[in-house]
Amino acid sequence: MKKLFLSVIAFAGIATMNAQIADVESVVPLLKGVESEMHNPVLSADGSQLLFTECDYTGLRLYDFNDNVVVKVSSEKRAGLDASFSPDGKEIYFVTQTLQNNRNMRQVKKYDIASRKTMDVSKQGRIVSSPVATAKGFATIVDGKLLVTDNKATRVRTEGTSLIIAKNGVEKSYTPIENSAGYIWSSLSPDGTKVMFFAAGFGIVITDLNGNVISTPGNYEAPVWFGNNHIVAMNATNDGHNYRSSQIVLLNADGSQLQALTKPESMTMNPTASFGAGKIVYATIDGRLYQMNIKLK
Amino acid sequence: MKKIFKTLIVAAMTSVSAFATDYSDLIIYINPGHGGHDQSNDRNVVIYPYELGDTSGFWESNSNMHKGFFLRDMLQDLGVKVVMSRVTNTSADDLGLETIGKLANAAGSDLFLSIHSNATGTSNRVNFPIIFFRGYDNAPVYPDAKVWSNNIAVNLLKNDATIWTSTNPNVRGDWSFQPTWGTQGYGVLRKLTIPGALSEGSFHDYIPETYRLMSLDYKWIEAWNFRKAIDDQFGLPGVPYGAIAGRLNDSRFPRIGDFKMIGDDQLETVDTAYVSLWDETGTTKLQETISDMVFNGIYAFRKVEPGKYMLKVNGNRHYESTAMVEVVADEISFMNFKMNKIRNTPPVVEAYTPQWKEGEAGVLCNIPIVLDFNWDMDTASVEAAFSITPEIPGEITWEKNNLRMVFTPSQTYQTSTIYTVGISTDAKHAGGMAMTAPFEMSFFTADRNYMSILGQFPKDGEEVHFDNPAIEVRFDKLPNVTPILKQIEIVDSEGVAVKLNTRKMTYSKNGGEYGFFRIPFTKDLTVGSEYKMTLSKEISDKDGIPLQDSVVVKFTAVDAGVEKTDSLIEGMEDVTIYTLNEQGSVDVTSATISADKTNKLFGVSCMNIAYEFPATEGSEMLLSSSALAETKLTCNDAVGVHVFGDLTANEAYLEVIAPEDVKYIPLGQMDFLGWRYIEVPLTMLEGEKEYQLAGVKVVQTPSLMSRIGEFKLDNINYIKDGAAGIENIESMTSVTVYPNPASEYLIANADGLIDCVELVSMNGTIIAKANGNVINVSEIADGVYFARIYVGGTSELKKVVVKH
Repeated sequence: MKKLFLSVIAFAGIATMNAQIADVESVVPLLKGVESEMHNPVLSADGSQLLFTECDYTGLRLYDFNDNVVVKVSSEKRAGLDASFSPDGKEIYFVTQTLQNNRNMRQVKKYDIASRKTMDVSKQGRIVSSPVATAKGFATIVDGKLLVTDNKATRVRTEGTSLIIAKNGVEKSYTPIENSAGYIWSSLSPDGTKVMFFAAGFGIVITDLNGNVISTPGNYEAPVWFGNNHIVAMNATNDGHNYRSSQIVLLNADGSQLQALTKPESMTMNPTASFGAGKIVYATIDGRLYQMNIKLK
Repeated sequence: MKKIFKTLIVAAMTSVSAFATDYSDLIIYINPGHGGHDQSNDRNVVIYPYELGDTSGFWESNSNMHKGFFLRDMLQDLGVKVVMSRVTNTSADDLGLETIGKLANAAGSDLFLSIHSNATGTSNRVNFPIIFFRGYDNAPVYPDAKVWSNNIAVNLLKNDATIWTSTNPNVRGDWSFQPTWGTQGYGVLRKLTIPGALSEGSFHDYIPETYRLMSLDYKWIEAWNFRKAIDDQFGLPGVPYGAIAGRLNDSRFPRIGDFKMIGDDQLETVDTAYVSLWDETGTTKLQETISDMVFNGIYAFRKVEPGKYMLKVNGNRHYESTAMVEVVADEISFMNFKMNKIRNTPPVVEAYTPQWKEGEAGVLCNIPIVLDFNWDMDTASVEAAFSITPEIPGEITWEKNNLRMVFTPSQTYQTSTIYTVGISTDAKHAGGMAMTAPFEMSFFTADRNYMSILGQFPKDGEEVHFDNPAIEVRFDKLPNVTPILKQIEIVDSEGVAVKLNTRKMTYSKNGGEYGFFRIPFTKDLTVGSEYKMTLSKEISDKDGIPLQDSVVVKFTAVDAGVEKTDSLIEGMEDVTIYTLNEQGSVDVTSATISADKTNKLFGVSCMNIAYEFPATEGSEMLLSSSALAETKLTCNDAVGVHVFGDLTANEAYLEVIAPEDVKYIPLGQMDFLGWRYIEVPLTMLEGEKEYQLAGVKVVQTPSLMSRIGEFKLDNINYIKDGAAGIENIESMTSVTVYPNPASEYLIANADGLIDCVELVSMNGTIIAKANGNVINVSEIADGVYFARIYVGGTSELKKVVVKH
């Protein structure tokens, strides 16, 4: 692991063949020697809190950068899949999964960070979409039924090969990219004007709120916004069975520029970002977390 | 007609509604592995008739996708919601591993299946399923994933249309299987929130399986078994209909191909044959299909009402085959056929060996005769019709399901002889049709039909120094040493086997003038004990040409290292005083004399004399000392020396010098190994002269093994009056011996009656004795001897040479 860390550090300040978008100011390991495997990190909007899970999304832990404390949010299956902070960073929405009569049952839960209490916010269902946290609550779909606490909020989700954008209380479904195996990793830009999703077999797609394609920055997995004009994603290759390389990349939302933030052999993946904090956190394939501080040029 | 109606009813019963209760809320995610027909992460196996890169040929991505399609359709028929990671085969939809996991989770799936086939990555060829789950073998991340994997393995092994090399369910945790990757595991399994498995259904680098994986029916079988595994996983009822599938092979004809074939895969497949399903009585045809055309013989009826049926198979070149088959619900009834080819032409010999033409060199004298027929033959009629002239005993065997006859002579052919092989028109194929014309071929044999022993140690009657002994046999060709230890037997006087040290065996490599093996004993021999060594006549050269007869020798262990109390001739073991005497030598490539401290018998070291001659005959080497020994020798004396032989059979001499005279004292042929004490009476010296030791000489004996040698001398002794009891061989001229050299008999003549003749070795040992004047030397080893002839109470010595 030391070797891997060194390679990450060594790469941080090296100019790439691509245009420089940002300066990498530092790379530091997180919770080194404190936690074992840490995967799938999610930063709060202000970058002061971090969620992470096991590789297969089992369990959910919350790390507070300010007091350097890790709290267990959940130990249940699937809890770490698409867990999200509320915009104010006070609540966490996530989905748990249990096996009942040979069927997986899912349920949305809310964790109040201050009181450290968890409550069920949906009934159990077979198909439950990942909850989208909004300013006044959340929205999800339980077995085809919309469950929403703030219907006016603009929000986005995917379902199969549908991009569903809700604004002013109206949901509309779009299919900007045909012949995809599915849409995933959808998100709204911080300023709420653009939608990003990943069309499997095609790559990242950015649309306006009417589903019109604005740009297709490239075929990079697990994209997240870094501000309104940049994206952080992972660029991985495989042999059909195993990963052969994986690196973190920063790119303009229009796809015009790309900067590799880590080396392909670093096996870094699943980035999360806080533009306000100038912070990117990512995991390595063996479950280490790194924080990279960058500054856009 | 009634049966057909029932079949239609069965088909109708498979509608979604019938099983909606059990299947309809299930969500299965199918990931057909790989994609894009790109060599970087897809797998293309080149099989005839497809070229490398031809997307119509075998690509794992195609195969995996077809299986996925079949499984999807089966499940959807039952009302299961199925999501697939790809439904086309382009690089674009060869999704990232993170993406696949994310899609499977997002779909709300209950179960994940990644479909693959396997390859060894080595030259080894096997065929069996391996199913992987995430975690360690005995500690799965999802316990249900191991159950799921086991269900897959058990069901895939039900496929009897293939040849499995292992039928044990092989289920592995990816962390255990790839320990160097820690807990990273297979990419598609990493992020699953549900039980998932990666199925390597069979080995696509086992070429017969590669061909099978080209068959849609075969891939359908695998999909059916995946569906069965899902049923087992969720306790689902299955389908009310069954299926029939199988593989068609020829009953006898071998499959052609330069690839590994196991079991019935060695038989030719029957492709594009009509397979029809009839009612139990065989009167009403219910369904019909055609076996696959890509060299796999696979067929299937995918939906059949439970019951008893008759299957009929008709191939263009095969007799019709029929079989009864019983179909039960939710199972595939496998029925493989071995079909008899229609033998509608007379048999002929299509190919044969040995091939020989007038003017070519003779063939090996042990070469088997191989006849390849166009049909599988009636062996009894062919064997009766077979002839070889001149007659020679041998064994006839059959290969390739009686398409090939092999005659192996039980002894070697005569040398330089034309043999004629014939098959008369009485020979018939298995269908009873006889040859319409006789077959005849001839070949000429080489001029060598036995491997010759050039030299060996020990020979019969020899003495062997007990310490660190070894046996060595030299041949005119390189021996096949692989079975050699089974072809040598050494026992002591009580019949107890004496072991040889196989790890220290040395033997000839290509390039030498002769072949040999040398094997030391594991232990020292017991002084005074007699041993028997038998070399089997099965010992052969690399071409299988054997010895003419077994060799049996008896030998006695002695201590040749007993230090003599006679006067040591001082100063002669100083190796620095010897140099190659160019004038006394003929054609010497190299000659060295050195001190050997390892193998010495006495003192600090012995003399080691190594030499090389340019050819196998005609050379002499003389090593002369710069200082003569002080000891004076006369014809009444004798010298004794310990000699370590090198089995070259070259003759060694000590050079002695007197004023205006030089004589060479024969130590005999170096036709032995290890230490031996040789004592030589100096009767060849002139009567009044005194001689001094001056050098060592080697005279090459013409032989393939005489070019390079290395022997040793230790402690040269002077024996005062050591020849006093031996008459001067030059003094009695009335006795003659002939022929000299002798190979069979040595005959002595004298004026008086000869009582007996003894053959005496150079060290005084009586080698052979005969009453009368004739002594048989045919089994006496080549070398220089004395013949002691007894006439009227006196005896006379004659130096003789035995040479075969």
